[in-house]
Amino acid sequence: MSTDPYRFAVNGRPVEVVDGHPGESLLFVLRERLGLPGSKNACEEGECGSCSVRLDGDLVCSCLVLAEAAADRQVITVEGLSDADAAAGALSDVQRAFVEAGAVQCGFCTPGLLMAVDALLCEEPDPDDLTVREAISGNLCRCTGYGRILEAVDRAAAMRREARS
Amino acid sequence: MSEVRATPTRGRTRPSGIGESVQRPDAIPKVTGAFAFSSDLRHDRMLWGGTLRSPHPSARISSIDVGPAVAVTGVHAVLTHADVPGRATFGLEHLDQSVLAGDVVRYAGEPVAIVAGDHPDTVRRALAAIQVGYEVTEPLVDPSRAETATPIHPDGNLIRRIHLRHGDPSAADREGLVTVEGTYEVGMQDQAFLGPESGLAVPAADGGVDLFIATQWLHVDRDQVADCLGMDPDLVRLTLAGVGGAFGAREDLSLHVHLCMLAMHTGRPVKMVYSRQESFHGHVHRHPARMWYRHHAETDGTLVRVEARLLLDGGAYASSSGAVIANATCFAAGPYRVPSADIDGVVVRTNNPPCGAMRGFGAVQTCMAHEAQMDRLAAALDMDPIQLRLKNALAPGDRLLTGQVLTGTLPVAEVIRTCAEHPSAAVRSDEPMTRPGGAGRTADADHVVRGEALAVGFKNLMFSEGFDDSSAARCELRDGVATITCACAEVGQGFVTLVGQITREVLGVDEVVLAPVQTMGIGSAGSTSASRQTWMSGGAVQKACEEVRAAVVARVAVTHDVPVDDLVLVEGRVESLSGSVSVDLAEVTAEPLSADVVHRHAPTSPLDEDGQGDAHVSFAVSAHRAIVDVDPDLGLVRVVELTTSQDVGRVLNPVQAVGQLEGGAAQGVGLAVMEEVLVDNGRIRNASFTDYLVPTALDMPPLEIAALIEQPEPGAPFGAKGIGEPPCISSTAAVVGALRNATGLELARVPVRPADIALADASAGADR
Amino acid sequence: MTIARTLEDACEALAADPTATVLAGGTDLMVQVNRGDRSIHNVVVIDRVPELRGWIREGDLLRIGAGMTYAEMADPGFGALVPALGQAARTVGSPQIRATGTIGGNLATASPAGDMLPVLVALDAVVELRSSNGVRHLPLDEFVVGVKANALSAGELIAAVSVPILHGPQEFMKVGPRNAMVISVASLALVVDPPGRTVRVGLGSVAPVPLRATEAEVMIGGRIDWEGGRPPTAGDVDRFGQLVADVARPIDDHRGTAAYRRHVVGVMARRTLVRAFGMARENAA
Repeated sequence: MSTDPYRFAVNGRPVEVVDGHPGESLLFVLRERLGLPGSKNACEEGECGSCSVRLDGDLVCSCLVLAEAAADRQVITVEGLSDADAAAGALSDVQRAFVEAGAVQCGFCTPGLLMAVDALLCEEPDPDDLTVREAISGNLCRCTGYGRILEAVDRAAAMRREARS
Repeated sequence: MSEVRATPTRGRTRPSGIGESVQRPDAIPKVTGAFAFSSDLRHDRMLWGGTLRSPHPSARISSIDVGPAVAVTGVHAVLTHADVPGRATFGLEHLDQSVLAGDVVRYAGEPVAIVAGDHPDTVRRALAAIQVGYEVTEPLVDPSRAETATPIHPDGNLIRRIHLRHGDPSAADREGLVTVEGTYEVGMQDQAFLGPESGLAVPAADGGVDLFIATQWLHVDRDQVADCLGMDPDLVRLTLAGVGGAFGAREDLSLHVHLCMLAMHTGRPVKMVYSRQESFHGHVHRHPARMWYRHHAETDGTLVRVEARLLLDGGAYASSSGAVIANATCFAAGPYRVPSADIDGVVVRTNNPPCGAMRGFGAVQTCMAHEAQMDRLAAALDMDPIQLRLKNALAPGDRLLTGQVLTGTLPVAEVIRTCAEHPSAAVRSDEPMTRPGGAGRTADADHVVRGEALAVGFKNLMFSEGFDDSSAARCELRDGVATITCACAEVGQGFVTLVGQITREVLGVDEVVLAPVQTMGIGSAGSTSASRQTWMSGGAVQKACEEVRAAVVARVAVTHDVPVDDLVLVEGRVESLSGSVSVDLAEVTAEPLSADVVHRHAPTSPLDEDGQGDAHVSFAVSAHRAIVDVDPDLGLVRVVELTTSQDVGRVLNPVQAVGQLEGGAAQGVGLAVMEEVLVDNGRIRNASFTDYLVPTALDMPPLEIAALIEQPEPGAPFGAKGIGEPPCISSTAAVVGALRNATGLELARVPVRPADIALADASAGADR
Repeated sequence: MTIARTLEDACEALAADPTATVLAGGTDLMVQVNRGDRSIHNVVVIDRVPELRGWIREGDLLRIGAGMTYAEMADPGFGALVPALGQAARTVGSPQIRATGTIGGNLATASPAGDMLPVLVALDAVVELRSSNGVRHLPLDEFVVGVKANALSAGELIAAVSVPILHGPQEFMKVGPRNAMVISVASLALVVDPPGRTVRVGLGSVAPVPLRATEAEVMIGGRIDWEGGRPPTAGDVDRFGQLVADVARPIDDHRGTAAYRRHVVGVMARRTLVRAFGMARENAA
């Protein structure tokens, strides 16, 4: 038994799923059908944020989105974070900041955090410490204790300020 | 798996050597989503695997009927104990655990059958269709009854006892001493790594199998898997897949044999990924502990004798419990001079979930207790708790509880002083969100009290008790490019960065290539645990590079007729100090040079029947100071500030070192106030991140690093000590100490739950 | 699967198959689906139905579309209308959950720990249910009827929930052992209606359904100096707290004991009352 074909867009490109199983989450479809394993599967119950993507601009847990129900929507994953007009493979400011600040250890939480931080800085270009912590409170990290991650957010915010001026 | 390339540097414009905050070589793939973790792997024609687990903590299996599962469309295999081709059992210390339960299950979650199917949904339906007949028996769940209860395993219920007796047993049999006593408890913590257990097994044409797996020790996994598959180890080829954290939970086998069995049986690649709920049942946890202590001291605070009884619940299977109780016992009194001691350390078997390695490995539990005792003693003596600790602080030349004399560095007093004297940046914010309760808005300013405490802890680095530990590494230098082969499992700690730093430092090269981490063609690197890899695998890499350097220098010395001592390798060239020779390393190594080494540390001894012996290689000490805010009426807590000093030997990569200290402290905070696997009559009640709570960014304060004390450790490569474990040892003790300071309550158990504070009988407070 | 574009679409789809699963944010449903605890064969997706989004003010009544997300309710603009609902919305889950989880979902799931429910019960909310047969309204305490049990009939979906716009202080508190992303161990909403001279209290996670503390409400309503503005006495506050705690019927579970829950309900009752009547000190002493 499979779903009717459905279409949506991922990182600006149209995709079609033709033989999905009912009940598959967007996370599963991204990872196992669309060759985009960047979004992670640490809990699949909305409690860790490792699967975070942007769905029509909103930061959501892709494990809690029924893939079929994302039809006609725009999804952005970590694979789509790099600057659209920069050379292929170039890193976005948030990605660079995480690398430079030492905010990546095992890296499993990293994609979800990048999405959350990118979403935060789009909303709030100059967030204070508490605002950052609340914005990433839905993203668990077990390796870093969040210290270098907060440093990375400061760096990314500074990079964006500089880019604007 | 593709090779990981270190960022090449030209002309040393970027920091690249020892002591620099070199960027990790896998950072870029990790931030782009390209890095392949074990659950990201795919293969054409792959099937999905799944595991059926016992719902009962104790039962006899009377029947297993796989027929209904086999009949499910899309199922390719349903296997049970009868299908295990080789040895039926495995284990790290004792081969006491079944690959698949055949006649008895001993914990809720024990694997009973495995399935391969064309979709995870198919697998789920097939698992649900397997009929297992259980005759449920009464589980043994109280560890204090285990030694006298009917054995639940042929190996018995006593996994290991160490009765440590040190010094004069009558040392406290005199007047004028102050004595304090307490009983403490540490709940079951979980490693809660984010990357679920997962892997891919691919059957090979030669009759072997290729297993891509996230793990901590490839070769020991391989040997167990080969045994259970009844195959030659050379036919079982393990490649490390990206590891999403470990913290001890990947030392034991989980899905390894199951995946290989399914792949061999179906002739197809098989992928398996545990759900989070399954993960809680699929790996060992930190041993819960009950500890009774009695400290005797002179009235001036000098410790005279420590007595303790430690009871650790090992759960159903032994795992590494024997080593854990040894650690707990050896370090039971903390980093203090204790001339006389009687410590009875026991780890027992029950039908509770199996326990094993978790970062800190026994020392976490006893640190919580010995630091509570030191605070109790300080109160009884009316002495400042920090002065009490300084007065008794161990120093090189002192004798440990095991009788071993400290021959290396151990700056206990410096760690305490620097931490205690570091100025606090903690303020009292007017922002309601920063109060205990956070967004729950439960507290106004006058509902909050603040407390502070300092705690110290130490443990051994590396394996102990005569274990012949080693790590193998190969360095090959060809055309000026160094390739390092070492089976050290990178689990996030940053060994991959260190390899590049060491190699560049020794060989002066720019480009360092890390070969894929595999069991093939290289010996064991040992376990990524016990804070040992920098010393062991870093040491192996250093040695291999140094042998290659010597060979390069010898080659140039001959071709250019200069003394060997005159030549150095720097910035991609071989140069003579006198200036007469300067050759491109790439040219010199057009004909490649390589070296294979196996690095060992100085031998250690077993512990004798009194727990005495030179059992450890090296030690590290750390201190934490915690400042907490408490809302006593609701029992809610906010950790406001953590400060730490740690004995590190030498800092090899500052930003990575900070990362270890911050991450470990977060795990310590978690154990202090929120993390516990709740087990009810043998069953886990909170097998999800909904109810197993790890600290979020709103729970974890900034970590102030007061000092990284660098006293180079003799015998350690670069003088560097392992740094991974101390951060989670003294942090828990500091946080709970601060809670006691804030509330005046005894708080003898961690994690401290809100009700422990809010409903405490105020009249039964701490000795304050 | 049907993606409904209008409320009518949705009702028709449900009429055609009353066993279909209604899906908005999915933050409860998908957890069960991912675990394999629930399989869904026919889904009616309603998160694109405009009639279910947003809110409408009709005099002193606020009609909240079932599709309003927690993030939208946490917005200060909405919070100004129903402060307790805004405060409660901010405590739900994480930013990711708040972006898609809806008030309709919170009602439909009808969990004893549902964060909106204590506020809605305190406000005497009325739930609007629609089907192809028409519309009906149920007071909250007739909609949430048991643990995870609601009064939806076959073919019905939640269209909106209406609450009064009161002109007085409102406070919401939630107790949990972590500062973020936590299922409520106990929660309490207190809303004051000065013109109506009532204080209303809703309790969460201390009974199978959200509770009102009627005896406490009557007691304190009679003791408050509505005209003169004198705050309640310490004795009144204590008595109020005790009466509220007495109403709770909590259980022991892995998140907390009954004793703890009853205790914190009393504490929250006193504190919200004190805050509402301006007696709290916001700044550190």
